[in-house]
This record gives sequence, structure tokens and C-alpha cells, in this order.
Amino acid sequence: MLAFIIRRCLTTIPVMLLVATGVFLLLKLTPGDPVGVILGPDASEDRRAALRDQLGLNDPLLQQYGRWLWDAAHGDLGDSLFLDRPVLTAIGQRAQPTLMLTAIAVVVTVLIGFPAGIIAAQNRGGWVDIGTMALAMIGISIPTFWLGLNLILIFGVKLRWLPVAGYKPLSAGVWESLQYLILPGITLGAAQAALLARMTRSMMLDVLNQDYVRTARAKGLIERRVVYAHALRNAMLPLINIVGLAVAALLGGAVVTEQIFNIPGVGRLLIQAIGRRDVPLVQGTVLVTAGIYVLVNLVVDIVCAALDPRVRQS
Amino acid sequence: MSGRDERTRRTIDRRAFMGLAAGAAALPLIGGRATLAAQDVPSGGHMKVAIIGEPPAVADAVFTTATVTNNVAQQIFEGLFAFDSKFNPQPMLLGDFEMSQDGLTFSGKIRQGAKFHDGSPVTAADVVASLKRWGAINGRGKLIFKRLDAISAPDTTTVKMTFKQPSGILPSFLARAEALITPAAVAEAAGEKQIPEDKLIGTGPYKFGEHKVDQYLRFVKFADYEPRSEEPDGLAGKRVPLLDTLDFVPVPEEAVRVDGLTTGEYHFADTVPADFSDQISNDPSLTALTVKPYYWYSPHFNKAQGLFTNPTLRQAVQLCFSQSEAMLAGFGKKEFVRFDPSVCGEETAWYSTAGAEAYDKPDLDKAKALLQEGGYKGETIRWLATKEYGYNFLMADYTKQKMEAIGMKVELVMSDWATLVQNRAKKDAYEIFLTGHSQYSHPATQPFNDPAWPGFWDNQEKDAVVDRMVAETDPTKLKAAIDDYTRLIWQQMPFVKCGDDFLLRGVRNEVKGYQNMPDWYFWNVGVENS
Repeated sequence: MLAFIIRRCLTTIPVMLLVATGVFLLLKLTPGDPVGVILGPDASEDRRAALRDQLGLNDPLLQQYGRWLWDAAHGDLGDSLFLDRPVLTAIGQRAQPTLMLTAIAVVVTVLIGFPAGIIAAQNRGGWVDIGTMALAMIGISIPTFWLGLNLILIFGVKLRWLPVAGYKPLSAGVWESLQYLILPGITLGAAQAALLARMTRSMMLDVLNQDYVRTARAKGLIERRVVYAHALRNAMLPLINIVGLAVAALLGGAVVTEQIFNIPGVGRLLIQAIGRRDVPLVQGTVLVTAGIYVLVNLVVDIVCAALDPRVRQS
Repeated sequence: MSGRDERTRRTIDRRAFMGLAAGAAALPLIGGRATLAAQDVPSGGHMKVAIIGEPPAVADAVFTTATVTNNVAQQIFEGLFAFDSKFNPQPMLLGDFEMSQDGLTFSGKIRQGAKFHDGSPVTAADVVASLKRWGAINGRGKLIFKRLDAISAPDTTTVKMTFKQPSGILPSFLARAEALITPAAVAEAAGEKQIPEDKLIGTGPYKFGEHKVDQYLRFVKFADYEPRSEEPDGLAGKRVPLLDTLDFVPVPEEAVRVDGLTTGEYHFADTVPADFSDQISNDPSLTALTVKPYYWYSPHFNKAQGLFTNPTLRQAVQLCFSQSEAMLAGFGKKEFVRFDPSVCGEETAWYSTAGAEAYDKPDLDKAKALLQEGGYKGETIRWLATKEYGYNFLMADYTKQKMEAIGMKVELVMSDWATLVQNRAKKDAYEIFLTGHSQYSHPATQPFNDPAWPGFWDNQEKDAVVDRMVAETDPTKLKAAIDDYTRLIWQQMPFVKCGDDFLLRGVRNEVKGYQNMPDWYFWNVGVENS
């Protein structure tokens, strides 16, 4: 098991290096001037040129890349051009909103996705199955921004049940904080819940057709025990993979949701950094997000390996 | 003549001059609602202002020219002067002051009771250090310091400036948010870098409290603030910090700013698209505010390289399209645009339409003739445009069609705004780009006067007339210089002034005492039941 973990950890290094290089080159190929955003529209050209020099933006590409990679390898992702603070500090300050939003979205995903998929599988071909899968299809198809804006309109503006936008940290109180995350959590989690429902249904149908399930039924076990104790346990393995991918996707998907709901998380930080051409911040944010993505996948692999010896042996 | 007499005389003269220029523009700035008398404005409480995004450099308006930073900065910083509601510079940190009639000497005394947020009194040394920083990095500051012979502090409360060339414009420049005064140690330590958050020490009615990037920028009441005695008038006069705390919340999504205003999440929403005006006006708990004057828009020609180095071709473009139609194409709602050829709003002292007879009078035959006369041979005209700002694309697209109708070949080079800003600085990258400029800035301070600014208007006649506008202390001669400047613009056509647009803001009705100037401020403002 230890050898498996070490092997998986080592494979993450080239992945991260590729991500870092790709992001750096893409950003350098993208036109745009961070200095214009920092100094405002009326700044003179000589002042812009001076700041470009000061920020090292006129250095050769290889020199900039080498410097950044060396610093990154030593845990220093540089300073944000716009925010005038270390990139890691800027990301750290926004970690809590994004993690909380993702956690709520995962809860929404799991609480809706699993039961919906199981119920649909149990009622295969019936109106419950058709209705659930139709809803799932709608959930997958609805654009996040459209769903978010409509939830704001209905539950924020019309009914006034929940705040329309913003964020309060946990230190302000659990409900104070949670009420700002319910609508964004549903917005973010809806598509993943729909996807999980479809996958769960599919997995469950596969398993429910297995011989050992028929045997269990033949032994006279009640249907609930057949489904939850026998079928679901065996369907879980691929579903853990799907939930793992969903967590990573939710972290990435938070970009749009945070923007709509004005949540000061990592996703919004990334969007703004791109608009401002804040290259170190974009690089740092993408690298950290990619790192979390890789880490989540690593954890999922390890969990799967722990649960299924066949994975370890492969 | 004593300082006080001189000040009084100048004020009267400037107001008479304003009367000539602005006519009966009595308080058009207070768009949509009257302000409550000071005694009706509640004291204490908390106010949340939704702004368009995180302000660059937080509140250091010397470091950046971004409008949002300037507006935020003026809540905590003050300058030697401040603009009244008609854009006349009035003393703010100064008591008595004197500008010699030849525009070569300026001296002023710091008003009694002026102190920084750290409790230390404002000294002339602080003013000198702050203005030196302004002169080193800010465009307008540099212009003044090029003309400056010496700046000194003869005693702890007196500031003296002497000039090599007349610089009558000085009070107008010093009234801008960027000419802010900080303790000398802060100004000297910051130099050309931005002032760190923990050193944002000013003299304004609010002081820096806390900054959580992307969440809020919190200012708190400066309890020891000693206001001026004059009645409030625009940014000038008495300033009273009534709120306990004032939060600026960056809300980049326009719809969210409006929704937050509707539900009471925010008390004030800055820069709301005109499409929301009915929604705000129809809500009994809100008031829609129109900001007049605000910005004007124009396609700028590249005058350094290519086709439009030829003024005849620039004239041809101006005559081939209707400037008012271009404005409507860009901004849609008629009540938010004004068709006007002046580069300064009619509410200001600098309004002029001299030489603008050709404004909004398209003449296709003449345009075609000019095209031929200018030697146009079907070359492709590259127009830098962006959809990031809707007006930018829509105005460009409308004008493109009109230019093509007289035989010009136009290619819209689309990109995001940051890329456009980068490309417009390259002399070989384009023929035209479109942008907006402030209607309430002194014409001498417009960025396009700088020959290095995109569009590259490098012209001796222009330099001479700008120099006159900077030098004049006499209002009549200043008015003549502004007329000549406007006439030159319509003669040389460095850009085509299309028209003005007005900005929409929304405010909740529990907010009292707010005066709607182009640059917002929240002293003398209170919130009921907050």
C-alpha cells in the first residue's frame, strides 16, 4: 500500500510541472497590460513604462519563467501585481469561502444525487424513474449563471428569504455565514447532483442485475436490505471516483458561482486576476487549484486502493 | 493685497465667470432628489456602498488614476483645495492663500485644527513632501513641477511655491483627489510606490479601518475631525463624519449591485447600467440618481502613423456619420446622453463650443470629396474595439457602417479591454480607437494633450494653447484660451467628439444628506435605522 501511495505521489510532480509551464506560456502569449489596470486610464506612457520595468515585465521570457519556477519550487509564488501582497497570502485569505462553498455543494450533490439515482434505479421504467431522470437532464443542461441569477431573483429579491450576494465568515456565526452560502451551494451543486443521480442509477442497475442480488432476493431478504446492504456497497466503488471528480469539478466550477454571488473566494480571485492580467496571481491560483485537483484524485485513488485490493495490484 | 482679500476677490471673479459659462445650471448635480437639511440627517450607524470592483492601490490616488480609487481616497484624504458644486476650487486644508496675478507665486497657510488621523498636526513640511511625491509620479503633478522653480515651507504652517512660468491652474490641480496630503514620513517612504495600507493616514473625516480584499474596505469615523465653518458646497466647505463605519464592498456584477440595493444589502450602488433605471425608479424604497456631468466619448485617430496623419481624412470621417446617432447606438437611452460638441460639460466653467459648427451635421458629398482630396486609396482602416464595454463596440460598429458607405474599408479589431489598452499605445497597430474622457476635468488636464498618449496628438499649436490654459489666472483670458483650444480641436480633429453620457446610481431612501457629485462622498451623510 505504501509503495502504491509513493508511486502515485511521484506521478503528481510531472503533472504539476506541466500545469505550471502551460499556464505560464499561455499567459505570456495572451496580450494585455497589467500596468494599464493598475495605473488607471489617464496614466502617462512614461509612468507605465517605469512600472513595467519595476515589475520585471520587460525581462526576457525565459528569465521570467526560470525566476518564477525557482521561486515556486521554494514555496514562493511571487507577489500579486494588483493586490501588492504575496500570492499565497491572497489565496489563503480566500480559501475559507471557496472551501465552505464547495463543502455545501458536495453536500447538495450527495444528498440529492445518491437518493435520486437509487430511487430511479429501484423504479426502473416507471414514472418516478422517468421524472427523476428528466429532472437530472434539466439539472445538467441549465447554465450555472442562469440558475444562480434566478435563485437570487426568487429567494433573494422576491421572497427575501436569503441574502442575494456576499459572504460572512464562520466567525460571524454559523447561520450568519451559512445563509450566504445556501443559494450558491445549490447553484454549484445542482449540475453535479444531476450527474451523480444518473451515474448512481446506472451503477445500481448494473449491480441489481447481478447474480448475487438475485440470490439475496431468493433467500427472502427484504428489498431495502438487498438494495442498501448488498447492491449499494458494490456500486459505491466507481461512485467514490465520481464523487472525487465532482469535488474537484466543484472547486473549479466555483469560479462562475462566486462571481455571480459576489463571494470573495479563489474562483473570483482567478477571474479578476485574469481580467487585470495579474500574471503571478493567475499562475499561483491555477497551480494551487491544480494541486488540489491532483490531491483529491490522489486521495480517491488511495481510498479505492484501500477498499479494493485489485486496484493496489494493478 | 492680503491673502483673505485676494481669496475673496478671486472667488467672486470665478463665480462671475462661472455664471457666464454655466448659465442657470443650478444644482443639476443633485440628480433625482433633494438633500435633507443637515439637522435632519441622522448620526451614527453603518453604511454599505457597492462599488464596481476592488480599487487599485486601495486608496492611494497619487499612485493610480483609477476613478474608483480617487473616489474612495477622498473619504480619508484631503488636499489643499476641494471643488465646490460648480467645480470651483475652494480652500480645504488651507486657511488664507494667495496666488499672484501673474501666476508666478503661490503661498498659503494651513488652516487651524487640521490634523492627521494619527493625531499629529498638519505642517507645511508634510504638504511639501506630499506635493513632491505628487509632482514626481502623477501626470498633472509632473506638469506643475516642470514649471516649478521652488517649493518651500518658510514656517511650520506656510507653504510657498514659485514658478518659472505662470501657473494659474494650480488651485484647480490641487483640488483633485490625487493631490492628497499625508504625513511627510509616509510620502517620503512611499516615494513612487503605493502607500501601504497601514500607512493610509490622511486628514479626512473618515480614517482607514480594515481592508479585506474582495470583501470590504472599511473606513471609520475620525472623531477628532475639525470641520471647516463654511456651508457644504460640493466637496468644499463643512465636512462632518456622521457615520460610525463606512464599508465599500466590491461588487463587479451590475445585476448583483442592483439586487443588493433592492434587498437592503447595500445602501448605495455605484455605476448601474441605464437599463436598470426603471427598476430603481419604480421601487418606492430606492431613488435613481443621474450623474451630470460624467463622461464624453470619441473615436481617436492615430496621428503619428498611417492614414490619419492627414487631417483632411479625419475631417472626412467626422462628416460621414451623425455623432448623435453614434451616441444613441452606444448608449441606447436618450435620457442618459447629451449631444454636445464641448470637451467639458455645460455644468463646468470650461464649457465651450467654439468652432464646433460641423458637429453632428453629416455631409456625405463633402465627406467623399475630402476622402478623394486626402488621397484615400481603399486602404484598410484598423479600428481597435472591445465588447467588454458595450458602447465601445456599438459605437464603433455604427461608425464603421457609415464610413463604409462613403467607400472606406474598416476592420474592427476586437479584443478585451486590457489588450486594447496595450495595442493603442503602439503607433503601428491601428488607425482608430474609441474611449471616454471626463466631462468635469479642466481641458488642460485631459490625457490626450500628452503627445505620448495613444492617438499621439503632437502639435505645437496645441501645446501653446494648453500652456495658456495652464498659465492664466484671469478668468476672461482663460475663457478665451479654452475657446481657442476647442476651436483647434474642431479644426485639427484629433478625435471626433460624439457626445456625453450620464451615469446612473441607486441609493436607498434611508440614506439622508447625500449630494450627487460625479465623485461620490459620504461625509454629511447619515442612514436612518442603521
